[in-house]
Amino acid sequence: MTSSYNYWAQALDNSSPDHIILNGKETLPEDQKSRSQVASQVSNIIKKGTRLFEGSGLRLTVDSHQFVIEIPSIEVDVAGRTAPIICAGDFRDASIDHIASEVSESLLVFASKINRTLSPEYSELTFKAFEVLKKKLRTRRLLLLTFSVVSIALLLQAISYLMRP
Amino acid sequence: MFSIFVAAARMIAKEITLQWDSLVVAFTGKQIAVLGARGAGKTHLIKFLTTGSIPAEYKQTLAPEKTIERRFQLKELDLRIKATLDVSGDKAAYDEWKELHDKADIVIYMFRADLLIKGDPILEARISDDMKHISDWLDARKDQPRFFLIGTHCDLDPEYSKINKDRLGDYVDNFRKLPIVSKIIAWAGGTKDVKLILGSMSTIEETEVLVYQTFAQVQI
Repeated sequence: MTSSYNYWAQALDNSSPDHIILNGKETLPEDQKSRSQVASQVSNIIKKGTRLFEGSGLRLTVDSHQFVIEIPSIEVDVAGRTAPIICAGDFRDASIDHIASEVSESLLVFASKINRTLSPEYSELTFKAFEVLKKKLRTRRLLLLTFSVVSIALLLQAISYLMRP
Repeated sequence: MFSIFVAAARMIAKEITLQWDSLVVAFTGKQIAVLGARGAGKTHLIKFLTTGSIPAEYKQTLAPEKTIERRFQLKELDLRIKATLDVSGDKAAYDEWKELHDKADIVIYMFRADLLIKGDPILEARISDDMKHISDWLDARKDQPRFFLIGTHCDLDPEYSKINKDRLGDYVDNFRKLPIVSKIIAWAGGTKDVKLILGSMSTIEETEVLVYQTFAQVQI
């Protein structure tokens, strides 16, 4: 797990404290402040963001600069419900390919730490999901570049017109 | 004679329809907050209120699930439920709970009634923590929401399965006498303002009954 991301998984017995990791450190059940920080981060991304990818139970949601990825573990809880694991973080600080790789590996580490298992298919799905984010960011940059070029061209034309004798 | 019977039946049906219509007016376009510990049934209830169906598969709720404003029909009832959020039942989500609570016209707190009846100490401690927080939030509000306590999973209590549904009132009264339940009701505002409903959501039919019992408790 890296200190860049936060992780969250609900206990399978539905009564023990959830497993929550903030900035690479496991939070204690009584550390309400740190645990709330992770829950609020996830909540804000979901509320303000867009679901970019969904498949086989994996979900990737992003807002302007943060992501939440949710992957189901093989284990189910005592009520027979699917038990997902979450990773949340910022995608501005590294390339998307690097983030996809880190997230995929660190989720396996986190799952193992809490005695849970992720199906091997999710590694590839994680990369697929972040590929969608990569395309979206590329399109956004292209649009921004196009807008900038057109704006400069118009500005130069306006200046040229004004400077006519 | 037959025509008198038919006329009487029509009048009764009209009375029931009018009561439902009043309930529709009371609940139309209302913001609902559904709170409760993990596994209490929040997702199940929210899905039913917003779609009229129950989940085909169940998943623990970690990341909140957004719902959109939906209209659905329950027998003669025609409801409009505003967009809400299905949030985690862990204490880490208390900030999200408060945000939902503060905006809500109707607050529903759900819990496993079967486990309280058994005297589960972990659940009692958890509910106590939840209700102390909720009590503070209620005190801080100028406009008090309508507050419902819904005890679920009664089908797992052997006594519930045995009773004739006409005796459900006695079952609820006995439940109220549990010390923890008295505390919960007091934290939520007292017996005058808090409505307690017990039941099961193991099937869609039982979910409909529970939802109807909830709405029927509203003072019109």
